[in-house]
Amino acid sequence: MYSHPLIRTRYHFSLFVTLAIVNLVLVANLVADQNVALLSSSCQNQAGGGAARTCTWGNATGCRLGATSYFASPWSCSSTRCASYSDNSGCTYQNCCLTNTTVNDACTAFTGPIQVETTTCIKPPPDKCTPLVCR
Amino acid sequence: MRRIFLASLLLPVHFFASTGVTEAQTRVTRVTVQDNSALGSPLAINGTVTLRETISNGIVRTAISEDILSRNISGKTILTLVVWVDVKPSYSSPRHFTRQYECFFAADVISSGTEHPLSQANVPETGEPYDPSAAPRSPSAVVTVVYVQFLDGSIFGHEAFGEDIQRMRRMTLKHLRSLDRIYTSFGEAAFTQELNETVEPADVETFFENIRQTLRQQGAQIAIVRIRTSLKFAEDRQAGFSHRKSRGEDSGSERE
Repeated sequence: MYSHPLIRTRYHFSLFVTLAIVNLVLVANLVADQNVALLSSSCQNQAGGGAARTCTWGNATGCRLGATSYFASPWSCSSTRCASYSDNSGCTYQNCCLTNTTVNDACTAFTGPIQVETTTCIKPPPDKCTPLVCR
Repeated sequence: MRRIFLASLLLPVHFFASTGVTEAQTRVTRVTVQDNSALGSPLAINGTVTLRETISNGIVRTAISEDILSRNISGKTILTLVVWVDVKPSYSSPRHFTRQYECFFAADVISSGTEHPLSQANVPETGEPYDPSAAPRSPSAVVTVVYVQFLDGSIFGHEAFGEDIQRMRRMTLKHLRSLDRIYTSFGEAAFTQELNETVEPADVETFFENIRQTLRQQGAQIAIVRIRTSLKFAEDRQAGFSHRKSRGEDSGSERE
């Protein structure tokens, strides 16, 4: 039977076996990584229960069908379509998912397009003392 | 046998490459903003958007940092502005932002020749499942001016894109008038109670929360002055619109 010259010697045979073991270890690591990925995006009902499930994909806490938003903090997401918050600039930031933007029940895939994000800044009247304001 | 041996040498290389999907990989891209507004846009837009995409454990996280500036080149004062910002990262889903700025109740307007920032400082980071089979796209950031109302009531863009902000304007005006009436008819206590009531929608609530801060810090007398100041600005501006209409100039035209 023909043998390649490289594996004719015991040294080269050992090298072959070592490489095979390294490959096995790498494959095992890869599988383990994928398991971690699946676990981190698994579905969990958060505290509160009922329909008010909260989720943040950003924090990899997962969500169930109907939980429509997946923003990390400061957005909270819920089974409602919109989440909003405001800051000191007088602007309101609103994130509304389209109705068909959901995750499947296994929390492994999104369906539908990305949500709509709206910032609205209604400038308030001056708060400094002016002849008009502090007369 | 020779093939098996060579394959055994190549396999580690293959696995190092493929594990890049599960281990953290970060790509930072800065793109120049493109202006997709219709001809005759009242704003000149420039700036950059920086995208930071990190792929880890099957999730792609995307952080967006904006530096977008507009300049009013219309020769007229802008009262209301609606723009779209469309950002397409390489790996994650495209983002569509609507930015609405309303100066109807304030002293500050966007005067001709002045700059107005369109950036949002705190664009929320997203995380979504990473699809390794999808080819990365060329990232882009596009700004479109879709609606502008000038101080004289004339409009650039299409009225449909200003409907949301116009609806909020009507709701704000209605509540301002109601608060003014309550103060005049029933006094400070009733006014305070009414002002402390939460208003819907959240965008309008933010406006009144600002006035509530005045109520808490400086009292009802200063709060009602701010409300009446808002009403004064609003009514002066509405009168300006009516004057333009009575002269036969259409404030609802699609193009200025």
